[in-house]
Amino acid sequence: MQKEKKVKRKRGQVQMIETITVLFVFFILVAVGIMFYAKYQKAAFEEKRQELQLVKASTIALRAVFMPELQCTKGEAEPEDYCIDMVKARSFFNALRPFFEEYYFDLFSFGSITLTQLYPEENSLPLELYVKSKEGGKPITTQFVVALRDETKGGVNPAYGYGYLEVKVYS
Amino acid sequence: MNFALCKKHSVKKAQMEIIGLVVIVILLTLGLLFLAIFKLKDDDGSRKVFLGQGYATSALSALMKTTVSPNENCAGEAVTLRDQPRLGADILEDCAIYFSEYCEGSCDKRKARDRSFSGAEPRSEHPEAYSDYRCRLEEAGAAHAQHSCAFFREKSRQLLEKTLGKWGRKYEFQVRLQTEARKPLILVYFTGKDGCPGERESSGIFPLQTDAGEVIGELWVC
Repeated sequence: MQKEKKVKRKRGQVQMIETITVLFVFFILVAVGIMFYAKYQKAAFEEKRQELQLVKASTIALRAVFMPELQCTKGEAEPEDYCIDMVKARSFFNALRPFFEEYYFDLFSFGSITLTQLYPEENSLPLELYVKSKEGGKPITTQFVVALRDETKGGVNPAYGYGYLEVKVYS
Repeated sequence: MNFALCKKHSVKKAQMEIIGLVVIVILLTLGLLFLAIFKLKDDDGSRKVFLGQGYATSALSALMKTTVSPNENCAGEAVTLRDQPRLGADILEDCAIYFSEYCEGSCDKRKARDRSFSGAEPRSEHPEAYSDYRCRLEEAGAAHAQHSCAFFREKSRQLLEKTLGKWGRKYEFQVRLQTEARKPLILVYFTGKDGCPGERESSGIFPLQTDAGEVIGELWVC
């Protein structure tokens, strides 16, 4: 009788150890699964963040291209699309810098906008239009090709150059 | 005897339990594997890069409006000292008018596409053929003045490579001449790296009315 009792107790202990082992292994597997999923999600979030930043940069580039302060205008006629007036661009930074904080920050946020001419004369230095730096942020850059109209060059008709706007946006 | 039977029974029970454990582990592993496969399948290697509205349109518009640099010495009857020709208007119009002489009169759409202008000049092109504008490609240090078609092709390729090509964008550029009499004639066709085989953004057509017919430019970016 005593021997039977002893055997039963041992069997019970073995069963309990078995159950505990199964649960232990199960939770380890779940933990491993959660770890992998978390790593994958982190990469996915980072990719989504970069995509959204790129969208923001493109939107800012379009805003800059279509701003009356920079756009090529022809008096009362319809302004030219995707065209920057170089006469306006050269004086934009100095003339409107006092308004960067109170007005242009709402349009362009943290970042910078520069204009580079590639043809006919390749500029050694890009023309800075807007800058509002941010420490510690990760910038994302996008470029947008534009026509550059220059009334000071050319004769009867203004000369058009080929260049691009570079927009840097901080997260 | 009873004890032997009991022991045998216990061993079989333990074996069944182990099998149960193994089945659970296999099921969980398979589940995780399928999850990983489905999630990774969405990213097929060709990430959709956001281009933004008007990306191709602005590039083509800028290209067509560009004024040729005086350094490229575009000689011609219509050029005054001050007024340099525009790439997409004057040079392209000149190319359309004198294209048949440039191409020996035997250029057609199929041949133009087969030749793929990115390589050496094909045999049936005549660079010495007449055109009103004959420009020297400044950067190439070209010694001889080029036919307007050759100049337009090289200059537009240069500018697109300095922008779209440099930024890693794939593109295709085509200019065709549409006449009532025959099928469209490809005046210019080239691609950036690998071209645009799949989904792409078009600039829309940029028409130019010339004496030779309607010249249509189009740029695709992907």
